[in-house]
Amino acid sequence: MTFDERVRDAAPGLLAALKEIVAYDEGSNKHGDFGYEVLQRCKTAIAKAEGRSDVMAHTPGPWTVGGQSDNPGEAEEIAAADRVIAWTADSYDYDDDEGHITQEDRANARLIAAAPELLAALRSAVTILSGWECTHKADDGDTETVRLCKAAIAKAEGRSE
Amino acid sequence: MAAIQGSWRVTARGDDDPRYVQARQTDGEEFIVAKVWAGDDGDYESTARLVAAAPDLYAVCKLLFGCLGEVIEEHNEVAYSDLHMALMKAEGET
Repeated sequence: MTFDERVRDAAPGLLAALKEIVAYDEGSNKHGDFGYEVLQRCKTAIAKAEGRSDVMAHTPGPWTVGGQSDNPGEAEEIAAADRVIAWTADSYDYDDDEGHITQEDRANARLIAAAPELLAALRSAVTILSGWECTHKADDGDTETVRLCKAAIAKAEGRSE
Repeated sequence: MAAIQGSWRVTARGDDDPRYVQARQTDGEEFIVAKVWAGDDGDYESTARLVAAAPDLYAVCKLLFGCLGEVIEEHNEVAYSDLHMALMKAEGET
């Protein structure tokens, strides 16, 4: 039996074990038993095995504000790795019939460039808070905050929550 | 100056064309905020969705940091730091 064959043979058992680890952690609310990073890797591996890796289909971060575009209608460039992936639109001024890059255009570019980090941070926070909610009798305000977070994640992933 | 708030959504003129992210103002008028295009890689639809969700993500991250930041920090300092850094990046502080 080759290594690949042994891995394929063991895969269903490994997947089940990973699910048990995640379920134990979520059920016991003892985040930290296995280490947070280990649990995130477990969840990523499970999602990949179940064909749910499409939630990360967007251009991987980090994204940066790359500079100003020379093309009409475009303001700031958003870059990932070595290529431009998006442009913010400039603000058209009817008085002089030209587009201008405003402070708002620049703020939009910064906000867009931060989107991958915001999404990743939010996912981590929601994972932590979902366990915390179960045992700490979170008040209605906290529960509503977590619900809003999940809705924002769902929008970013193209799901309806 | 803050970024445009409110509802951002993805629009497209054709399947193979760039995706546009539009913002809706309170008076209902819509205008283009950004154009998303990643060549032939085919991932620009997901990327555009993430761009359109940016104001929502920022708003809830800000809310979360204010309301439950201490809880997150108590459970995981790395997650708390990541949240703080993401907000600072969005606000142009880094």
